[in-house]
Amino acid sequence: MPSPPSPVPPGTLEMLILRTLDLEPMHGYAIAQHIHKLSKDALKIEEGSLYPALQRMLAKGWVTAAWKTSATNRRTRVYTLTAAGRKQLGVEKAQFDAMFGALSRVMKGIRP
Amino acid sequence: MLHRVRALFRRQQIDADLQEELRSHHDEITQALIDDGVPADTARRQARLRLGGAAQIRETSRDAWSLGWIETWLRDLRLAARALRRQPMFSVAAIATFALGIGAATAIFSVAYGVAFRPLPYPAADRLVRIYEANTATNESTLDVSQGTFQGWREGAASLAHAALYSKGATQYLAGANPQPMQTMAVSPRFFDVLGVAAAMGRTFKPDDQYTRFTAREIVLSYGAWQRLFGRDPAIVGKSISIVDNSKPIEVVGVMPEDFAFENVDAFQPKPIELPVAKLLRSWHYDRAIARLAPGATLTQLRGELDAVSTRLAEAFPATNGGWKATVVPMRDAVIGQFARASWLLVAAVAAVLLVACANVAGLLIARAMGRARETTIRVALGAGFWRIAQLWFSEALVLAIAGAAVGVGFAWLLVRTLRATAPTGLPRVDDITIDLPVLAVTAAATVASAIVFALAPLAGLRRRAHQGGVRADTDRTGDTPTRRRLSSALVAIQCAAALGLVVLAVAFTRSFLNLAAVDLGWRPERILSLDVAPRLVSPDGRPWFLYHLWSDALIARLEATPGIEHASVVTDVPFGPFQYTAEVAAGPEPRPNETRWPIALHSVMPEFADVLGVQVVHGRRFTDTDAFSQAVITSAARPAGVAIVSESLARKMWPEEDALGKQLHLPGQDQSPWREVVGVMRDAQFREVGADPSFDVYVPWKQFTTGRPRLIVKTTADPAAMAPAVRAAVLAENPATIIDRVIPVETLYRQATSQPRVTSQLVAALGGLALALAGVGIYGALSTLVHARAREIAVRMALGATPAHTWRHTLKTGLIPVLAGTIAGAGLSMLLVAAVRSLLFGVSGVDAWSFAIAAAATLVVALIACAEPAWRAARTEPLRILRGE
Repeated sequence: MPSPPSPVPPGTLEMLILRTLDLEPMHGYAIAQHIHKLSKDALKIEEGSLYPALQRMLAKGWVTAAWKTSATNRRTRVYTLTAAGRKQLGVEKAQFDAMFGALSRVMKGIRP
Repeated sequence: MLHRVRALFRRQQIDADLQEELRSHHDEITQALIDDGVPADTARRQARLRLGGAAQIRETSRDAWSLGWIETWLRDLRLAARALRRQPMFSVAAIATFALGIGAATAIFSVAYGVAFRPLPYPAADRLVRIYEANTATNESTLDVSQGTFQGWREGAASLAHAALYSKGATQYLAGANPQPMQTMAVSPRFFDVLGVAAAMGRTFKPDDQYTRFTAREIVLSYGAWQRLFGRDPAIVGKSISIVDNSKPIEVVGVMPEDFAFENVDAFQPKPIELPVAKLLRSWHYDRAIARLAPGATLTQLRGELDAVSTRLAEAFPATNGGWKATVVPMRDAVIGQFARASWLLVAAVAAVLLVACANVAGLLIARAMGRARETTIRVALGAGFWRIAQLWFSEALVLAIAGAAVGVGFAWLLVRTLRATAPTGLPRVDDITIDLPVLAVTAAATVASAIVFALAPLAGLRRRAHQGGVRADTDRTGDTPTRRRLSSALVAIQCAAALGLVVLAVAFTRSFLNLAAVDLGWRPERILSLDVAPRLVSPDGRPWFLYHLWSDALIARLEATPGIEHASVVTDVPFGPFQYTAEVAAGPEPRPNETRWPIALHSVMPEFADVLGVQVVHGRRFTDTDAFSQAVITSAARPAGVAIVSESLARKMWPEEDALGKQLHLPGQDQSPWREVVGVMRDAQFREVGADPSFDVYVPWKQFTTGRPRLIVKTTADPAAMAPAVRAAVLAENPATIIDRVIPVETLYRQATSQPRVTSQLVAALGGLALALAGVGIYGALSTLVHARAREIAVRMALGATPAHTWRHTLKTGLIPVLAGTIAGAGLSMLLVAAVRSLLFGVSGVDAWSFAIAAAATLVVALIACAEPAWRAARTEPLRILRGE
């Protein structure tokens, strides 16, 4: 039995969405599902934060949205990464790597 | 950022999208749960729970698009616009008032900017100067330049980067079936280097020494001439054109850029300066000089250097350069000259009008603030701070100002269009008068500044109220606070002061113009038609002057036989027209060393000239038909002495205390006669500038001084313009190949010469009237508001026994006190104003009792009318009705 899913760490939601959309354009529900599955059910995206985050990213021009009809014949709003979004993903990933590296060095007690 | 600004306009779409998206998400969860085997209604409930408050998600999402303070502000603007729409009477009054002020300001500023403030169309135009010769004997400082002296300047002044000479413009005719007139100007080859402009196509002229009198067969076209005369021929460079009276072909070497302009010249021709000859030409003051200062050099340096050169030249050539100096004037001042001061004056005047309009609108806003005291009190009670209310009111002021400015700019656009269409041709750079970006930037700045003023006024009363806090009854309900009352009075006083100042100016300028119009010119410009006539007279020996004499006699006889024509004369120049011969005159038959020479205007005229213009010979005789060189004289090389008539002032200068009649004079270097005997003295006449000091004129008989480009002046019995076809027909009947140009009544030329004072006085008068009208409305509004706000107080007084007459007097007094204060302040202000513009006034002294009296009377009458109605309304108060209305 895995531990109950926890919300994503603060500040990483947008990076996770960007990374997800970098694979392929998808709609909001699919983004949440994708992150949930890929984290082996460890991360749970709250709808209450997902949609405001998507709106923020639309406003910043990182993603674009378009209404499409899905395979199950349902109207969904599909988000696509823009060039600006891809650039932002690079920036966030670099920041994350730096931060993650620093954290793990501290936790492992490695001297620089 | 851009996304968000765009998003402002499709907020609803964004929200609708999000709502649908959430619904779709909800459906997906439901479906997933059903797929997992959950019953449908349970699945739907769980999905709704998971999504939480859809409304909250939407709310949070909206913040993503927020623009922060800009959005708050835009919301305030929308709120303000809505509030203003609810009070259309107030809004229309405020917008219209401000539109009048800002519209007038925009129109006048665009005129002033176009005529005087806009930079000249040359790179680093502030480094350009005009250089004149100055004669210390006659005290004339802006005379034309002689080539010899110019060479001296060029060699002796290190501060000059480039210097060039140019001639007065002339009309030439492009040869063809229908000869087209073309304004040409001969310029020395460095001319374009001085201006710093290169040709757009081809080239300009080659460096100085390349041109001689015989080889200067090149021409540079202006862009306009290339368009108008050559149909934008792309291959024009290298082609040859020919000009009437000049058989040799001339090569087009270049076309200037579109934005280049110089005195409306269509085509530039090289002016050869042959140094050996030029150095001898020290007494022919024919040319104009323009120069560019060397980098780092200053005007003062240049003036010092030129003074040194003048001194040296005067020592070396006392006969020609004694008493001559140089005057340096920045190009800009030379071009716009008299218009600069007038422009500043107009800008100041229109700023005063704008001030009146602003004070007026501020008064209206104070009245409005009084009217909405309850609303404000509630806002304060609900926790709105001073700054929040300030922001809201500023938004309202800004909405009013922007709406007013939009209407005002439209109004200004109409004004400018009318002005341009009716502008006298004497106004320089009329085409530059447009409402363009620099003008609009100033308008925008003035609008925002005005909005701040509008908003500040009612806020002044608010500060204290905000401290009082609670909801007080009575006076609070009308918002009639002492601060506001004082401020309202101050605004009325400001309006009165500014209006009075402007009206004083308007009266002074109107009187000045009337004085100018009443100046005795020494001749009468009415009913005279003038035209250029260039007959084609072919003479085998190349000396056609005698043919010209035959032609002029026959033409005058023909014209004078035409009904509707009283007199006609061939002349070399027309009053207030171009082509003035400037020359110098000296006493005696022979040039002597160190002789005194007087700069004069030379007029070659027929005897009928005096009849056409109505000038009078006060002493001696007028010319007769026998004042002529015979055919024998003309065909021989010898030149006998001739006769001349001089103007009174010149006679007095040249032969003080003596009789001028019988005296001899000579015109060094340029007369067709070696010397002349004075046979008459003519009354002083003003041919160039109205109201100037009398100029020195020398008149010589046409048949002793003949030129190929004469002009014709014709005195008619009725409207001269209507006689133009008859005159034209007569001229062509006499010589069918005559080129006729510039057919224009002399009175029109006279009006053009006085255009600046006329336009200035009309504009100042219009602004004065506008300011007075606005001030009247402002005074009326302020007192009306006061009467309204104090209705209860008045009712109580009347209930306690005040009579209507007493109430009327009391209210009137209340209204007139700030008016009187403003009038007194305005009187002081206008003293300063009139003193500052005295140089623009003609025959009006600085402290002018009449202007003050008329203006003060006008202001007080307007104020009285404006106060009478509210006072009357106060006197009719029915105490019971007001008090019961509580």
